[in-house]
Amino acid sequence: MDIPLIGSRGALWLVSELHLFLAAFILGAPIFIVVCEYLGHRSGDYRYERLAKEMMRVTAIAYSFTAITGGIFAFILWTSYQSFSQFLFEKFGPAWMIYIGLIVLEVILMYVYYYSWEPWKDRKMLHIGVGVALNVVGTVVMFIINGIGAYMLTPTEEALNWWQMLNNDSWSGLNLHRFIANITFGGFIAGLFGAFMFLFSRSEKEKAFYDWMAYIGTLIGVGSLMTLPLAGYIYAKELFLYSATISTFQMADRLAPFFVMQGFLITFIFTGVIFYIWTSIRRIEGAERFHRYRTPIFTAVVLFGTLWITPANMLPDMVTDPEALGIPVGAVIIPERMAALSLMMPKALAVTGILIVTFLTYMIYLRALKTGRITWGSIAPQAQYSLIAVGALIIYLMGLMGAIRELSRDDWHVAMQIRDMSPYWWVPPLAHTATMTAIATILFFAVMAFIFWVGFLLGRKEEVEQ
Amino acid sequence: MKPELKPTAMLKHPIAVAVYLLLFLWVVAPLVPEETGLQLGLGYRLFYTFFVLFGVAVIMLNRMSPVRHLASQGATLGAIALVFVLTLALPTLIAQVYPYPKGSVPQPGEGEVEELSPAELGKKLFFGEGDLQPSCSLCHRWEGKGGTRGPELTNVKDVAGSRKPGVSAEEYLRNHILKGSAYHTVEGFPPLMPPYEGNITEEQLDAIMALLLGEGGE
Repeated sequence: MDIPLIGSRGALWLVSELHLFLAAFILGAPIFIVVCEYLGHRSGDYRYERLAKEMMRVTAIAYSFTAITGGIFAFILWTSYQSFSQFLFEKFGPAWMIYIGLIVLEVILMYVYYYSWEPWKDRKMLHIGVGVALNVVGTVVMFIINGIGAYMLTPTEEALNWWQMLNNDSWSGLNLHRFIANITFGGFIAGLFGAFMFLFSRSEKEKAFYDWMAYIGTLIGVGSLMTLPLAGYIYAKELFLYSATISTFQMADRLAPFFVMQGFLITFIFTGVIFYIWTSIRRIEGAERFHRYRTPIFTAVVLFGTLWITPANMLPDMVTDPEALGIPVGAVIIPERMAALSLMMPKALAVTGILIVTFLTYMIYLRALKTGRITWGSIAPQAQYSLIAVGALIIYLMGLMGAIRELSRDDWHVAMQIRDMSPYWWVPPLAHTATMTAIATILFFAVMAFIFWVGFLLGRKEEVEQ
Repeated sequence: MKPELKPTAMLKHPIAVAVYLLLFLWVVAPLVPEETGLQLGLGYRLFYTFFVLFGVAVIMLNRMSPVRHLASQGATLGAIALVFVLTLALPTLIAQVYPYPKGSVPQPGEGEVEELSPAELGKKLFFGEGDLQPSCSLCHRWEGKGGTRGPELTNVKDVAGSRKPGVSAEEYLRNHILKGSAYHTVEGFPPLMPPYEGNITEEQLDAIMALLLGEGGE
């Protein structure tokens, strides 16, 4: 069965991305929710407790949406890709059963954790223990579905059972990358939530809390984002060791422009984060002497970003002949003496440079804090708008990278084993992929905005009335 | 005189630095001889221009005075949605222009490709020399060249009229291109034909039809 207007692949694409955004959030957020609850318990700072509790409220509502989108995803997969769905269910039978059983357990733990917050306030370590169990189960759920997703790209040859299929060559790389990415995602969505609530806050007390919350969420997001390039390299190395063809297809053929876009997005994200930190420094009284570093820092991050993204050529694949299209070769291929800029070594150095500049900016922020005085809630609203922009870019980046992983299989459902025999077997160009990702990102934002509104802005009115 | 108005201070202003860099990219760089191996092509000059503008925009935005904290909830939501959508628009627009400038696709009646007949243009599109994705030749052959997922199309005009009762060759081919396998699948081949509706311009469709049916559609 084909889906009208957007086709089966388009529908599956949008729903699966929406489902994965929500799933990443409900898996990533509880990790730092538990950490924040523990920090609040140890330090006695009530703000950590409130942050954890409010994020858990958002997460609990997000669970329902994750289930709904998961159901629609499974429905489209069943109806539009029947033989392939049957293959997955037959071959991974026991894995699916464990997966479903653990999801049920995860939901039970989530409800116990959420609703026992007040009743167990005097048994804090027990409550935190439930939170830890929730995270462990959630992570195993993710590992199982990662195994099935990873199998589609790097299937185990001559696998005898479901475990050997699950334990394929890129499973651990994908697990590591997604685990860290989910924490990053959860952190930035908490930052997005803090920014959203700050902008809607009217009292100074509320502004102060959400200003601080946006800061903590962003700090966690950036901290884990800085370790992601290494996890990405490990994952890419596993793919390369499995088949150099995949890497060539990704980095030097049809998907090469997609990685240029990845570079753009990560440069924008780090620039946005540095923008936020500098706006934070501006509101610290007595920190004016640090302002002179601002322009060199922005210049450095944009320069490193430019160096990173500079492509060897701007061709959409390895076979296109620009001269046949009337485009001079020199217009789309890097000059000979600059070719070294397009190699991996300068690019790795450039990425390292971006990380160092971000770290330096944070060090400057800490120094400014020592010499000056911060008033939470006094930050300029543009800092919060920058976090909303960073949130948009993080969601978009995750959607794009997901598309890259899926499209790396070219016209195969399972690489070199099951060919995609649908009308949508072909690898779409970057332009189409970017549009689809933007639509999925907007859908996710709409869902999250609804959750923030229904969970907090409506509720807040009731609290005021009470 | 205020310090920021001093000529030396003006020269260090981010906008001034951006102007120097753009002058270098667009006035000096094209003069570099090709044999030096350092001549930046148009694509790269546009690429670096973007980063110069992006850098200066970020620095200037960060120097702005604090904006107003909006009073109404509707305006706040509107501002948040606007920032979100505009942020997404930036990479999405870059992606639209990045792989190939759309304007590079030869169109009938445009500049040097004016002499191309519709069938000649159709042949270029058939073999992927344009932005038609995926190109026909990924699956079909023309005069022995191309893929084998779908049927050979060199003589399709002779058989297309008998594929569906009461449907002419022209109508059949046009519908098949627009609706893909959902319209019809030739026996012995898998249902792989994607629907091109919304992904092909009228001119491109006419050009491919001219190729498939013979010049002029006779």
